[in-house]
This record gives sequence, structure tokens and C-alpha cells, in this order.
Amino acid sequence: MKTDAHYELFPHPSEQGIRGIGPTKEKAFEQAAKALQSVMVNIEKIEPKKTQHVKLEEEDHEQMLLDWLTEILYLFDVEDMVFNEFKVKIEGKNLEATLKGEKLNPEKHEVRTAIKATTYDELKLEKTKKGWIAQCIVDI
Amino acid sequence: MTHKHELKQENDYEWTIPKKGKMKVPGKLYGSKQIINEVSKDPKVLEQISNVATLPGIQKYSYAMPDAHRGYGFPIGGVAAFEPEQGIISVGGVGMDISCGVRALKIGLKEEQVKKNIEKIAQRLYQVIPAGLGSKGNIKLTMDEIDEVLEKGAEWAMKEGYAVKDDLRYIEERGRMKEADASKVSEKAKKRQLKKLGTLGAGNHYLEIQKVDKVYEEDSAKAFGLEEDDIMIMLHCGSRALGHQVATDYLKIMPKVAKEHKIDIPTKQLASAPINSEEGQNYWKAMNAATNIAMANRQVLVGLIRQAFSQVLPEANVETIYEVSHNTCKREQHDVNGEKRELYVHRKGATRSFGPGTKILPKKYREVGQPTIIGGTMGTASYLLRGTKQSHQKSFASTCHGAGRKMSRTQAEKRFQGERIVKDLKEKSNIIIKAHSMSGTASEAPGAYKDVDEVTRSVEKAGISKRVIRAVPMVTVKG
Repeated sequence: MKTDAHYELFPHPSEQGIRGIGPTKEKAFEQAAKALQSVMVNIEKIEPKKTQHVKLEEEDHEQMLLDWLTEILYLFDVEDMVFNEFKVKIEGKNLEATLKGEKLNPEKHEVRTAIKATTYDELKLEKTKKGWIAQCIVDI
Repeated sequence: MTHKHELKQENDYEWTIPKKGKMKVPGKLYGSKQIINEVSKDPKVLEQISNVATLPGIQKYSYAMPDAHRGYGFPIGGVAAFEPEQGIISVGGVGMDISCGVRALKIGLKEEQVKKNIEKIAQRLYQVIPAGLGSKGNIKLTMDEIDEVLEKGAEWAMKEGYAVKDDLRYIEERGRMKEADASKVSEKAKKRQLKKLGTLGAGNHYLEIQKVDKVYEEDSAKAFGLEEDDIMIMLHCGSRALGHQVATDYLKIMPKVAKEHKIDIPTKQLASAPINSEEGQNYWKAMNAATNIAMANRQVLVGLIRQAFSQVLPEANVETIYEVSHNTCKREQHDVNGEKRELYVHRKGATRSFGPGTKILPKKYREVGQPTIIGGTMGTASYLLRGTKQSHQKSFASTCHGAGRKMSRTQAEKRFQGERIVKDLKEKSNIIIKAHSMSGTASEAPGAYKDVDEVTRSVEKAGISKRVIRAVPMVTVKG
């Protein structure tokens, strides 16, 4: 039975596992992004004040997942943006996404910890009975 | 490789994983029985040590230090050296936080002389050191300026007034990696760093004021300029966003490079390039540039620490004892089967610890050996060790880098509460914690780490370094 789209954090002895689950690959990408952002801040506190767009090209969709998550880390470092609404479209090697969020306000967003980078460890993008799973370990 | 790995005890402090399957050399772990029991609870650690042993050109052993725990690709606490003709260079062998490391400083004062001002110092440091998620430095670089930092490292920080000359003398390679090439670093990596120079970061990075509470070797401590009750500072951070992006960029191209060069890699995170390939050399130059960023970053922070002390405790004379990275790949000379060879030594969560007589050490430490800095947790001791002659033979002159985690962050956040840790440490141990994130504090709880005292005792018993002093925390500033 398919479950509704959601995200999870899973343990790793030194780093952090993030996992997005959804009925489609796109939804799993969106939830993985939420999981990533939830390691950094309380995403419930983010308001969708500003919209940004991301475009990527990558044939290998596992790699595309890492590129997508790295893009969110990039927007955080360069533009101070945190997001909690993601709309992803994948066609062949192209990913197009719309992200909604606002500039980081450490108190309002109840900062947690920083993510240094995504890794290939436990990287998985696969269709299961429950739906699509998109996951990896991120370096803290 | 998912098969079970046999662990063979060689003596009280040395264990090997016999060579099998595609392993080119055996694995070797250092640690007491207690430590090894802890390490081998997670079979992934042994698997990671064995995976590293399959990489081309590896010399002697795939090593794990006593603080080893599961990493990604390499284990944390992993050491592996490769020869330049057939050998590889691995992004995963350095880690995503290139040149993450520790600076140890002394201030020329005793506990008695700082005690009554300690709250004021803690507060001032918390104010002047940008730390925590999303923090920005006071320096705003342009794209041209960042190229200069990438190529000059701590020398750049000195030019900008953040260093005194003796600081650079006591940083590895005197604060500048000469083979760095800014053109091998992506625009994306540079852009991520423009506002980040001079920031501490978050996670396990910290700034700590400590008191020397035990001296193990009087003579070595004297060479380090320390005695009991002296106040020290430890600063732990890395190459910030730039280093993370350099690692991400090169990790992405490595699987293809490995395939082209017919390098059989057990997991993608171990993807490597031959040292003498174009991609291998590009990574080497970019990684050295990221190391320069890390050294410049720590030096800027030292400048800010000095400034903070001059405002609240002007009698303090903040001097560098030493700075050493624990996420690196360095080209070094080592003896292999009686022959001197140039090797690329990867240390992922492991510290270089050159023994007495090593020529490239600053004169002050040439007789006793290199100071090696081992950070504990916010509630436990840290150590200064020194390198030994045996460690050159036993571990390519490497030792541990910290306590090593024994509990995941998820578990730690469930078990501990940030506010409670801060309150308990103040009431029970009189340690002041200044943290930007309470959930971050919980994930770094002292109880989430192995026993640092046992880890350092193990490296001494194994002969790969000697304890010089132990220091306990008085103030911890965390991201």
C-alpha cells in the first residue's frame, strides 16, 4: 500500500541520514529536501514569502538527487534562504523546481545544526511497495 | 564487501583484519580491548577499513585509530598511504570538511588569574566569534580576493592583521599550502564562501577555554610552554562551505575517472583518481586551496580571540602552541621496507604526529616531537600529545583526533536535552556553555562520545603518540 508523502531522519553514528518518501519520484525528491531542511531548522516556522527556481541537468537520477540537495545548501550559504515548499518536475535528464521560503531568522526558525555536504553513503533512489524512496547520508 | 571480517589480536593494543578478497593489504586497528569492543560493535567500521585496503597503491596497512567509528567511504579515524605511481588520491579519504582541524593556544596565565573574569570572557567570545547555522563573518570577500586567500592561506590573514608572525610558524606547512591552485576550485565553491571566512560553523566545531589539570611529561610540556593550572584555548573548525563544495564537486567526477582508469571501487564514496592523472592532480591542487581556506579561517578566528581577550583580560598573551588538521591528504616521506618513499597519506579524522627529529617541525618541537591536539567533548578532557619515532613505522606518523562518537545524533537528541546539559555542566563541573542551538548541544552531548581518556591511553600504549598534558574545559562556545 502506498503511504502519503513524508520525510524521515534516520541514524548514522557520526552523520545524519535523510529520507524522502512519496508516491512519485518527484514527491520523494520534494520530501528529501524537506528532510534536509529539517536538520537545519524547524521547517514549520518557515513562511513561503519568496519564490526561487532551480534547474538541473543530470542523467543519473541518484546523482540528480544529490545535486538537488546540494543546490539547497548553496542557496542557503549564498542567499541565506530556507524553504519548506518544494515543487519538483523531472523529465528525462532535466529537473525543474520551484522553492518557497524566506531568509533565515535564527530565532524564528529555531536553528538546529548545519549540514556540510551530501554524501554517496546509503544513497538510494528506488520504487518500493510503499512508494518512492530518496535518501542519503549528509555530513554534519 | 559485506562478508564478516575477522579481527585478529596481535598484542594488547594492536589488532589486524587479515587480507582477503580484493584487499591489497591487511587492516590494522589500534586500541585497548575495551576500545576495540566498542569499535567493532558496528560491523560497518571493519567493512570500511577493509574497503580502503582494496584501493590501488595502498602501502602496509589500512589503519584505524582508537577513536574510529563509521564514516562514509573511509572510517572516521582512518589512515591510508598511497605511492604516487600506481596509487590513488581519494576525496572520501580526506572527507567533506577538508582540513578540519584544531589550533591550540596558551595565554600565559593561570586559572587563579582568569577565574573571576571567566563569565565576562565567555560572553565576549560568544559575541565576537561568529558561530552557528547561517552565521556570517565580518569579512566580505570579492571573487578576486577569495583567490588570494585560496593561494595564500594564513599568510593572507597575517597580511590583513589577524596574525602575529609566530602564529604561522606553528601551523602545519607554516599556514600555506604552496601547491594550491585557485583555478581548480569551482565558482560555486567560491561563492558559497564569500561571507563565511572567519566563522566557526556548527556541529562538532567549538572554541574552548581550558585548564591544564595534569602533566604527563614535564620536559615535553615545557617545550609546549605549559605547566599545571595554565590556561589554554582550543579552536576546532574547518574549511567551511568552500571545502564542502570542493569535496562535492570532485566526488561527482571521481566515479567516472575511476572507471576510465579501471579502478575497482567498492563504494561510490571511495571513488578515487590516480595521483598522476589530470583529475587526481586537479583535486590535489583544489584540496590544497581548500586547506588554505581552513588555515586562513582559523587564523582570522584567532585574531578575533586575541581582540576579545585584549578587551576583557589585557594581561593575557595569546600565543599559538600548534595547529594541525585531521581531515587531510599530505605528501610525506616515509620508510617502506627500508626504502624512503614519497607517499600520499590520507588522514580522515586522524592527526599527523611527527616524532622527534622530524626536520620539517619547528625548531622548538624538533627534539620532543610534534604537538598533537586531541579534542574531547564539552564536558570531558582534551589532550596534547606528542609524536613518537615508532609512529612513523606503525601508522605513517598518525594518531587519533578525538574521542570518537559512540551514539548517533538522532539517538543523542532523543536521550539528552540541550538546556539540561548546559545546566548540569555548570552546576556539577562549573563549565560555562555558550551555544547557539540547544538541539545541536544535545547531539554533541558528552555521553554521545567514547571515553577520551581511554582513547588517549590506548594510543600511548600502542606507541603511536605520548600524552603530554590533559586539559579540562572551563568555557565552551558552540555553533
